[in-house]
Formats: sequence, structure tokens, C-alpha cells
Amino acid sequence: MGEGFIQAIAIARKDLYSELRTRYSLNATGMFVAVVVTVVAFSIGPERLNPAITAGLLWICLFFASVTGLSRSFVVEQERGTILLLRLTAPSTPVYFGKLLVNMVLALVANGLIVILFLIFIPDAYGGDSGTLLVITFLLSMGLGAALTIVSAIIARASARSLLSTVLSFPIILPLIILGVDLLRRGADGKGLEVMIEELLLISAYIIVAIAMSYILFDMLWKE
Amino acid sequence: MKYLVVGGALVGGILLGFRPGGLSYPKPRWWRWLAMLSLALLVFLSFWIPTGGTFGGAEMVIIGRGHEAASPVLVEVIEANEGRITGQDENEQKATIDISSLPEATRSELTPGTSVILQLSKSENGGYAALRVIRMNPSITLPLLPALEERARNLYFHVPSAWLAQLAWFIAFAYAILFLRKGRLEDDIKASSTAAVGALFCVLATVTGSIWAKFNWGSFWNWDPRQVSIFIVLAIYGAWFALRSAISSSEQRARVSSIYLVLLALPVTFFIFVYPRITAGLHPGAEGSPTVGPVIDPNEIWLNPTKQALFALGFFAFSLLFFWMVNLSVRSRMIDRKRVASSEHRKEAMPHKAPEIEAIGG
Repeated sequence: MGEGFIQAIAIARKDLYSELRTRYSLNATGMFVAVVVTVVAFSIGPERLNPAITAGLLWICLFFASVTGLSRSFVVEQERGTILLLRLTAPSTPVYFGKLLVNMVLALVANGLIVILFLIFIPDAYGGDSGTLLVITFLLSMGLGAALTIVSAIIARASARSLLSTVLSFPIILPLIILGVDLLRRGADGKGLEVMIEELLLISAYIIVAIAMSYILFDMLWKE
Repeated sequence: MKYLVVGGALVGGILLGFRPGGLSYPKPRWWRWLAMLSLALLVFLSFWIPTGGTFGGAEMVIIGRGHEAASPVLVEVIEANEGRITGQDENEQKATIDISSLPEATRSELTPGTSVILQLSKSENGGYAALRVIRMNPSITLPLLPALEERARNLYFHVPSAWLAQLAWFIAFAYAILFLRKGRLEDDIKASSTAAVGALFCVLATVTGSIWAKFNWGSFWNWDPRQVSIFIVLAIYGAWFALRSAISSSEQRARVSSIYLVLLALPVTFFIFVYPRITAGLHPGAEGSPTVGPVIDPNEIWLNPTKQALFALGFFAFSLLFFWMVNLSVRSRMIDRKRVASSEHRKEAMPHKAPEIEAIGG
């Protein structure tokens, strides 16, 4: 366990370093986020939207930013040809958890950026309590990271990867989308966390089940 | 008893699907005859048996629809006079019915002791008037379901196809796990054939459901939670087939798509079993709905034995049809695989018969 943990941290560090060195997916995701938020801001125009619609728009941004950004984690290894080396040097469990960690961090960064840009550029985007928004964004990012890591590993095995990423992620993330948009809408209405306990617990359960299933399945996916 | 009949049909259908021959060997002749006969019987019976209600039910429909369209009532004639009869319905409620608008020959047949399904309208003085005779002395009848009426016949097709779409999911899931454990390509063929036929039944359930929705709820599609969930299950099937077509090596395809199928158990369970029940909707079984769904509801009108028998027949016949289709698909794909494998084998056995490579090299 201890050794696996160190290996997982090492893989996460390697990913973050190589990311910081090229800044490929950070730049791409950042620009993607900026473009999406600008498009939303322009299409709304001077209108004042009700919280339900803004919550929906926010969720669309979060979903597509995460899918385009996170589903690349294994695809990048495949394209660079480094996946064989990774397979030789590390067993499946540390690889999975290392990638999971990186994806969760990336999801947090991307989603945090979207929420901040949303609050700045879209007037009255969110009327509720900022602490509630923080908790919801955090949990949703964790959920997106957990679900998309295994999807990324699956996509890396297929052709037509960029097309597949949205198609394959959609059914897996769908429960999260439905719960998330409900939470964001209620949060925007100014409801506190105490009335959302049920949904928050469901999302936490979703994260746990997604990680547990991915952990079991990833092992089979990793072995040649 | 009703649980026994319906449950027996469900279990019997599954057992017969797997037992002689399994999914990959030809079914015996009696099995195919049984499948065809039960399907033909289902189609015939679900359209043939007349529905008959009670005076109470008929009155409710008349209030909602005006004088023109009244629902049929099963009446037992007690007393016949010139131009009017006294009859009682299944609940032993008595009423006088004006039959003067019926033809003379029919009127003379309505003697005490006969039972008849009549289309009624309510006359001004509060009594009933017969508009037309639907069936004299029916041997069996289906109960008239308030608000569904004749449209209830759709149930015998819609519910079994929805059930098989769900069953297909479980079978495909089981074979995917079996493939991941044992690694036999045959299991992958079984999983994907089951899923393909399951997707077809899912489409059938969607189509029959949306026809029903048109005539009962007013529009073909209105994003009822149950419609949302079946739409998503269809999208999930679509994603799975998209993944399969994106991987060319059959070993890889089998492994990766089995893993994705197991992963999909999470959203499928949520959308088939949880989501339609926690949200309010029009489909039976939704949150706040008075019925849990027709099949397991202990309500009186659902308990009618004819209806249960037809339901059971529907489940049985559709199960056989489903397994027959899966069986054919599995077998044809296994033949395909053998042919590809043997042609590859032949190429390997005769390496001197590959001049293209040498031509390029030279």
C-alpha cells in the first residue's frame, strides 16, 4: 500500500510536471473556458436570466470543458507513445490513482475558472451563498474527475477519439448532470446546503461507486 | 395466483430461452412452433377479446365525453319488456336500458339470462339508452379500465417489450462480466447480440409507449420521466455501439466494450429503476402515482384473470421471440467469425501464396 501510494503520487507529479512544461492542455482548456463563457455572455446579451437558466448554462460549460480537458489524460500517453513505458514501469493501481488525482486537480482548476469567469462576466449569474457554490463546485469536480478518468482510459483504446469522448462520457456523467443542475439551480435560488443534503450524499455515493468500479475495471483495461 | 401466472410466464420464458440449445445452438422444432404459436395467439387474443365495464365506469366516461362516446358495459339481462330491458352489471348494480334504437332482430335476442356488451349513452331522464350491441354472450371479457378503455390493449405489447429491453441489459451485463473473467470471445458475441436485440426491443417499447402517450396524454413525446429514462437508455446503447465500431481488433473490442458495459451499469440502474420513481410523472410507478404499475398492483380491476393471463402470454411470447432473435444473431456471427478465422489460417498455412509482399519488397 505504502509503495503503491508513493508510485501514484510520482505518476501524478510526472503528469503535472509535463503539463506545466508544455502547458498544452492548460492553455487549451483555459482558452476553451474563455471562449465558452464569452459565447454564453454574448448570447445572453443584456438580458437578466432567471437562476434556473443560468444554472443550466453553467452546467453546459462545466460539462464540455471537463469532457474536452479530462478525457485526454490517457489519450495523450497513447499519442505520445509513452503508454507502453508506463505499462512496463508501474502496475495498474498506482497508474489509475495517479491519473485520478491529476484529473481531479485539473477538474477543480477548470471548473473553478469557469465559475469565476461566469460570476464576473454574466450579470446576476448566481444569487446564492458563495460557500454553497464552492461546495457544489468541489463535489461536481470530484465526480467529473472520477467518471472521466476511466472513460479516458477506454477512449485511448479506440479510434476517432475526439468524437468518442463526448459520446462515451455522456451516459456515465448523466446522473451527475441531473443532480448537479438541480443543486446549482437551488443554490442560485439562495437555498442553503442543509436542504441539499440528499443530493450531496447521492453525488458522494456516485463518486465512491465510480472510483470503486473504475479501480476494478481499470486493472483489466491496463493489462494487454 | 396472479403473481404465480405472470411470474411463471417470466421465468418460463427465460428458462426456455436458455434451455434447449442455449444461445448458441439451434432451437428444436417444437420450440420454434411454440414461439410462433404463442405470438400468434397473443396478437389474436389481444385484439379479439371485447372489453366490458360497469355502469359506474360508464357513467364516469359519459360525464367526461358528453353523450356521443360512451364506454361499453357488460350487462346481464334480468327482465325484458317492449323497448326496454332491466340489466345488472358485474357489481350487481341494476339499471333500466332503453333499447328502442336497436334493430328488431337484436331486440328479440335480449331475453332474460343473456349477457351482452352494450355501448350505452345516458338519456335525459337519467336512464341509459343502448347505442349498439358489441358482443352477444361473450365467453370471456377484459375489464374496462377507466381512462384507458380500448387503448389498454397496447399494454400487452408495450410492457413485454420494455421488460425484455431491461432483461437484455442484465443478460448482456452478465456475459460481459463472464467475458472479463474467462476471456472467451463467444461470451462477447453473446453480450453484443443480446444488447443489439435489446436495443431493438427498447425502440419497440419507445414506439408503442409514445403511440400510447399520443392518445392518452395528448402528445407523442412530452419528456415524462419514464420517456426521459428510455431515451437515455437508447442513448447509452448508442454510445456502446459507437465504441464497438471504433475498435478494429476483435479481442480489443471485446475487452474494452465489456469494461464499458460494466461501467454503464451505474447510469442504467439509475435511469431504469431510480429516476422514474423519484420524479413525478404520468407513467404508472412515478412518485405520487396511485398505482405501482399494472402488473404488481393489487388493485381490483388489474386483478382480472383474463387480463393477467394475457399479460403472462405477452411476456412468454415476447421472451421466446427475443431469445430466438438473439440465438439467430449469435449463431450467424459465430459462423462469420469461424469463416474469417479459417481464411486467416489458410493464409498462414500457405505463405508462398502471398506474392504482393515480395513484389513490394523487390
